Amino acid sequence: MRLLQSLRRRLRSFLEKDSSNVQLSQELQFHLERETQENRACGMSPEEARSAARASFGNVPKAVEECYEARGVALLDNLAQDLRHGLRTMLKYRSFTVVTVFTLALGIGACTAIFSLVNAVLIRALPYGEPDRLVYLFTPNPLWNLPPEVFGPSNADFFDLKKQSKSFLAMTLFTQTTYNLAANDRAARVSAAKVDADFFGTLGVAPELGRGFDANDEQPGDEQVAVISHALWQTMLGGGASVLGSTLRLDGRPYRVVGVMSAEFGYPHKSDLAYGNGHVETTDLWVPWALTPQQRAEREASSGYAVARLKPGVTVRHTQAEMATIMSHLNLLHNPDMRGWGALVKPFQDSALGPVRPLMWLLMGTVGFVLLIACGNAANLLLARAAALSHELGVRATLGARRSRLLRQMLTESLMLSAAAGTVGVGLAWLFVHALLKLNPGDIPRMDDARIDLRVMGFVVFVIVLTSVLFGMLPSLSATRINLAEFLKSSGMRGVSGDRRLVRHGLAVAQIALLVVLLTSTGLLLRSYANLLSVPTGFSSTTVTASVQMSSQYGDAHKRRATFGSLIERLKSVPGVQAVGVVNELPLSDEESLAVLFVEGYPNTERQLVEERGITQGYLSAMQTPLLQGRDFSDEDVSGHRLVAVVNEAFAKKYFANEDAIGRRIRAGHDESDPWVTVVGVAKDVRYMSLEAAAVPQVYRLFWQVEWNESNIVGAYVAVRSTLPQDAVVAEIRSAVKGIDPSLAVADVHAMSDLVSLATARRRFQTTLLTIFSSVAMLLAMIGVYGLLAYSVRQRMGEIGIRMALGSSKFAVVQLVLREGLTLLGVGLLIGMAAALGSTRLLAGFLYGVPAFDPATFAVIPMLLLVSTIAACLIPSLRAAAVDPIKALRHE
Amino acid sequence: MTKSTELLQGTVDLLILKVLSLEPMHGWAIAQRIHQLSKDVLRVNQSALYPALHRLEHQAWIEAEWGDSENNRRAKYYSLTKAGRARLKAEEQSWDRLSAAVQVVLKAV
Repeated sequence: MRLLQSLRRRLRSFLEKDSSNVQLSQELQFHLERETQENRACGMSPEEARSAARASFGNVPKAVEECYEARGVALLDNLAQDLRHGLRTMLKYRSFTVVTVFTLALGIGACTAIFSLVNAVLIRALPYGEPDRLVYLFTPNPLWNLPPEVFGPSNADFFDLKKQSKSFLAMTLFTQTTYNLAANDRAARVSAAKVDADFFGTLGVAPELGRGFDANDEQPGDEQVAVISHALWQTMLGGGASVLGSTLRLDGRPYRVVGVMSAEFGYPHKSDLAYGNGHVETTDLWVPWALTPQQRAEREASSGYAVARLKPGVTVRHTQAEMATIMSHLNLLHNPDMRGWGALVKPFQDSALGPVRPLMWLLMGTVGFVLLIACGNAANLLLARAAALSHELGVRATLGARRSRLLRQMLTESLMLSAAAGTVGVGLAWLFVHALLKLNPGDIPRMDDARIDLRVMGFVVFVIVLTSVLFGMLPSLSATRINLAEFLKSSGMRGVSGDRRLVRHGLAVAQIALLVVLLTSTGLLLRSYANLLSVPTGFSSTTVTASVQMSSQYGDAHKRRATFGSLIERLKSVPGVQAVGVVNELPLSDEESLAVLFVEGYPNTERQLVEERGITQGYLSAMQTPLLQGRDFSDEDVSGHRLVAVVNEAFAKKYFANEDAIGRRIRAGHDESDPWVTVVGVAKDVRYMSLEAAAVPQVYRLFWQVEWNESNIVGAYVAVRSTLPQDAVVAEIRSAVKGIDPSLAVADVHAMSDLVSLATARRRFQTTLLTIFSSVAMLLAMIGVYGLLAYSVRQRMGEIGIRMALGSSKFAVVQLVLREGLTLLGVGLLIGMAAALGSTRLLAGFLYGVPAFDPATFAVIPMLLLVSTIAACLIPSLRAAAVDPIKALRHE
Repeated sequence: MTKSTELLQGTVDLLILKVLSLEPMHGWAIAQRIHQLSKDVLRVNQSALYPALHRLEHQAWIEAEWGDSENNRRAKYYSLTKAGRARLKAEEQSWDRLSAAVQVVLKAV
């Protein structure tokens, strides 16, 4: 309030400055007169009285100045002056202003766009209460050579942990599943989580409508209630309040809707659980996980994930120690063959955001470089302009302007420039963000929420101030360092700009060095991406696939499997369809199944895990996966119940050491009771988990012979190869499924090329962004080099004139300019290469099939820069060559 | 001319406020009154007086009004505001404390 009043008074005296000036002089005038009068009364002559009054008053102008400052007008006045002056100069040097503002706007826009992404992904709090106190609990077992995040606690372990641990405020156990939801005459697959009563409470969330679950809902038999997501409510269920209490049919069973979650809640997402259900992107439905007493006592098998909320003040490390102690006791209750269960407490945010953090830093670093290069450009432009202003500044310094005053004026100007650039930059950032979202690779959590909000605006203001200091400080310091004696000696015609050349060249070298680092990184990423695209996938990209899943509500396992048989028959009969097959887990669909396998004649180890797929006899043909040896599965294998298998190249290499694989035998364990399965063919390797991971040994079994647990969901993908267009195939699949059972949903419909595209999306995203930003940086740096040389030619006009007058050829003049440009490049390259060699190691995690010191990249970048630098030198050097010596000498 | 003691800036403010607490007066009269009241010991540097007055006005402890002076000229009369009165009281107290403390030190040693 005080501040406001003070500002108001300042402003008033500032606006009424003229009248208050008059008043001040009247006031002082009165004082002097009154003093004179008094002196005269003491008997002085009028002359004496006046001069005595003046003498006793002291320095009048100083008093005026101080009164002025006491009213706080001076500061505002100076600011207004600086702003006016800045505006005038900006308008006067219009092309300078446009280039500077545009350059900086590009840098600020890029930074702002990436920051709004980082803000959405990393900074904005996760939509759970106090997410930093949430942890995942895993019980890894080193006996299985698998990542620790695969091991959620078994039900019995979870309940014992809950009983014995003192670190947790709340704990929840949940599992993932999918349902066929039939509503309004159509069936859709929904991603669901089966959760306990503490699920929502542990996460610190509450439904926006209705209620969550309580202990009663967990009782087997009472579990047919559901909480739905905001999105499901709006899109499939009409979005009305009447949804509460309404009934959903999930896999044919009725569930009563009791709650609706808020729009931002969709836990667990795909990015939350590294080894979660590959079908689930975002969860749309929550139902109680009603465990029977037998299920609660299950200690060996595990299908759940545990999340816990730490008590206030309890650290992860302490919890880890406590959980390890408890697990060491619980271990004794496990099957003696399997003992080795440990403990892992993993912070929730690390799981959700850890994998994308390096990418975010890479992007921030990249745009930071772009901004620095833009600042370098602006600084160089400002330095060139300062040289033009040196006369004005020299005169002002001679007339008594203080350096701080000149400095403040120049900084005000750079602040104005970057504020203008910031305004344009926010506009650019808005465009960038929209373009960014189009590139969304789909695996960056909450990326869709990226927008320019208050925090981003705050960041913009910070960047504006930072850039104005970065690019304004150096030129201002250099321009206001005025040697008055020198200035006067040069008869006021030219400023002293000798030392500025070094500064300007230093800036250009720094820009080139930054650019080299940026280009090298981009080159490495581009090479990685190219490598990825050339990976042989092992399947046809035009094959269309779709997923169908059935739970026990659709009959026993045999009946559900038979449903796929009739689906294949229906699709085969469609004209134009060439091959139809079914597979339980499709390549690149984030699913895998591992089976313990024992190979005849191989030194097998305990718990030897091999990827196993169940396929039908038409599948390899539908996917166009070639057979390298032997034969595919045949109808006779099915009808004759022959136990046969096809293995992939990697399997044959590892277990049969490249000897003839056909006729070799494998089985599911050492047990004599496990039947032998005969290998009949070797198929080409297929990239399953990702394109980047090398193919691992795999076994294909007949889909019809794979064991299915009665209560498990029977789910599989149908794959169709045909001469029909993709849309027609999709329509045929949908109508075939509907013809079998209208309540069955068809989900995950893709051509295989879509899955390849998804699998390469992250790399495409980062490579595209880095390429764009590096191009921008390159453009800026080359504009910088061009501007520097053009200015230098202008400055050296006289020298060039003399050289030509003394007989120098035009070619030699061109050489002169080129030499200046290439020297800059040479030094910049040296520094940049050294920095790149030091920093590309940090990129190792982003590379695929390229060493961090890739010779090709390190050779191409200098060539590229050489060509572009020569291009940037071209116009200034031609201009120098065209100099008319007579005119140039006159100019001097 | 009598030998006068130079005043610290803070004390000028205090004296101005004190003098103005008697009645509104213009700048010259303030200087005169301080001089008289101090029995010709204190002389306010006149080039410091006006900046001080303007600063006090800016801080809203005193306010100014143009009026006719004793010699029938227009003069700027300053008077104490409510905030100024409170300020004076606080300043007086802190001055008392300060001078008492200085006295104690001087006597003690």
